[in-house]
Amino acid sequence: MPHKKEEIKDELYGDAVREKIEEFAERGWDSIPEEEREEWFTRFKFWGVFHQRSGQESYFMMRLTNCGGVLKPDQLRAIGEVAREYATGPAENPEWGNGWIDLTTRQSIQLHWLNLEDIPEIWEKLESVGVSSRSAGGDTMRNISGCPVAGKAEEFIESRPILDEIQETIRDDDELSNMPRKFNISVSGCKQGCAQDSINDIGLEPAYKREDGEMRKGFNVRVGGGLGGREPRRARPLDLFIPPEKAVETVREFVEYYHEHGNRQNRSKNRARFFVDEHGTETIREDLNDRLEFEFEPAGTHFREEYTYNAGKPPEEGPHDHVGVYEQRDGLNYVGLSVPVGRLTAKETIALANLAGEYGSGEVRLTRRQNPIIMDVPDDNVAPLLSEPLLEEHTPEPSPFVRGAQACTGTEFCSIALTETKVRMARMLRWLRNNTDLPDDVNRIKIHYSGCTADCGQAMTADIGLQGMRARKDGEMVEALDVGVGGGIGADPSFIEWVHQRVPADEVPVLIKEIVEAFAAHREEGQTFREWVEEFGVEPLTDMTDPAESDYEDATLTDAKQAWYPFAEGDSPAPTDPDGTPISADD
Amino acid sequence: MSHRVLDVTAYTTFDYLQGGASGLDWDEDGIVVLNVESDEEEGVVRLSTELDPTDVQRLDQHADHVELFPDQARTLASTLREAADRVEEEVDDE
Ligand code: HEM
Ligand code: SF4
Repeated sequence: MPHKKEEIKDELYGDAVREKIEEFAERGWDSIPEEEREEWFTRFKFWGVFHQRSGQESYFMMRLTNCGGVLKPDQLRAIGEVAREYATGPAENPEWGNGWIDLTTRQSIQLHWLNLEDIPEIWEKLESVGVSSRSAGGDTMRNISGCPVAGKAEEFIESRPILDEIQETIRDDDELSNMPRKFNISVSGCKQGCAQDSINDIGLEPAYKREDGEMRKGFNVRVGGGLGGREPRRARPLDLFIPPEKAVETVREFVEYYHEHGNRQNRSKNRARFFVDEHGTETIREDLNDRLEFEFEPAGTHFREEYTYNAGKPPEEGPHDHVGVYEQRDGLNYVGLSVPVGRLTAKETIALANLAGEYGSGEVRLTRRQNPIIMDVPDDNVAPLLSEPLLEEHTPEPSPFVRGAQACTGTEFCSIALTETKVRMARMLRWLRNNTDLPDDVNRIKIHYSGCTADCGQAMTADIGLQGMRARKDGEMVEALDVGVGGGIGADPSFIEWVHQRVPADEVPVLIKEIVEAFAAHREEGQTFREWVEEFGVEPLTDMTDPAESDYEDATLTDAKQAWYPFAEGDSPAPTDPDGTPISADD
Repeated sequence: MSHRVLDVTAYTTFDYLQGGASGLDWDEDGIVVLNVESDEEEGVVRLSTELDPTDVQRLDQHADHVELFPDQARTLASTLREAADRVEEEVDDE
């Protein structure tokens, strides 16, 4: 029997959902019959419109899409203006106030606290500059990820034209809108591995063949990766080398193959990685070979060993991320900012868009580490750009902690979270910057924080991974963290091991400080955190570190996990009218 | 790999309980996660527990589970209810 979600999608999905959203918006929140809400919210996701969690009824999050993280001039400004005008909720966030945007790990942007009634206007404003929210959620192809500086930096193979063609001919195809499950595509053309193709459903990574003294460039194909849930998988090689001109049709064929044959009954086992487990790479390769016209050839030589992105290698082996000032191959520069936990106020967003226009071409790109990059800055403009107030705040030379920080959504908007994440992370980062000394050659410690074991924040692959938990302290239940060390991706991915578990949140900063100081004291010159952990071991680290309180103040230590908003007092006003007036249930 | 074996989220039945593990000549205390879920495919209620891995050195990280048919789950529920009543009565008697 098909899963219930399949029946819902069968009835109406894809582009047809748009009209219904506009109709409901016209008639107001109350016009969605209560018993049909769940069904409609499932469909809305295809258009990037997500109903917020319980306690926040009538408010929606919108996820915007793009391809490979590129925002053309004026797009970011429009997004900032929409955030200022519409992304305002009934309560303020203590760090970012009201009206802000989130940059995601899939190179997109999310807006919260939108009213359904405003959504058509928001679309109108965004679409007038070419920003869309189509296919941003639900069982569809998500943002196609690519190297954020593709086309600008040195690339082994030009990936930008391929990314654009996949977007136009595959992702935008309504026939393929209803996939068995969400589906991620990545293409990287650079040798740094920054599209993280090992964790996508299908990833193309650069490779080459040397024949008769000549080098032929192309891609190796990997399928069935994904880190979610209990059973993470690295994408497995298909032992298939394809020339660049066959890239698009190969991706299309795999997408169609999964669209036809993917499991539509059991949602816990139907991400493409399980599909690959079930059928095996050999069968998949054979089937694809039958479906595709051209001659298959075995994998070429790849650059995995050279991958530096998040791989825990010393900085001199290549840039770890895109933070800093880098030269483009056209002689201009790109300037990567560092935004702690990926959140910018509407005001900062607009300022960023303005700076991009004033000092660069106006183009802004987004990285997988939730950071924006200002593109096309001439040499003479670099210094004045760097001295702008926004760049002092979100500096291209951030503290090593800020540079490596990442946090999932947490209790603010996630209904299954055990703890708050983003505000806590932002405050811990400030405390660590002011209270911890690091050796000069350490430019990044990756601290990743997830609010529960689902690990959307990728704590498992961090230098220092934090996962939300609960503990008892002074007779009270408090928000707590499991703290582990030693994870990383790259050519040889590894997961963290726990150093201390259920550490009350207000005692975590001191623990991290002690861990990092142990690293500073015991490492060999040049060793990265991950290399050091591997050598030093976790047990001695557990023995020599102790969580403790300090002058760090935690905002939500005793928050009850089901509060409607972790930073607000009192009862929820939701659901409300667009002007914020509660809609009473009994009228 | 050192995940917790059990998922711990806001939906987990208990994310913090006192408990422990015992062998023939040893005893260790720890904090326990306990979860109850229904497995419609198998037609059973699954009750799982996991001790915090850093609390008990002696054991490899693991979770335990029992599978209960619906009527067994109901028997367990009523036994628990009765036992809870008795505990409270005794407290009240003191
Ligand atoms: C229920 C748990 C999860 C939720 C709610 C979640 C949510 C998200 C969201 C919102 C995005 C951005 C999608 C977009 O912007 O289009 C994303 C992407 C991503 N998430 Fe998750 N995620 C979950 C589990 C995980 C886990 C467990 C990991 C890794 C350990 C992970 C790793 C990633 C990565 C690497 C991406 C980008 C690429 C990809 O999915 O292949 N996520 N996730
Ligand atoms: S890790 Fe847990 S808390 Fe964080 S977003 Fe995912 S499900 Fe929510």
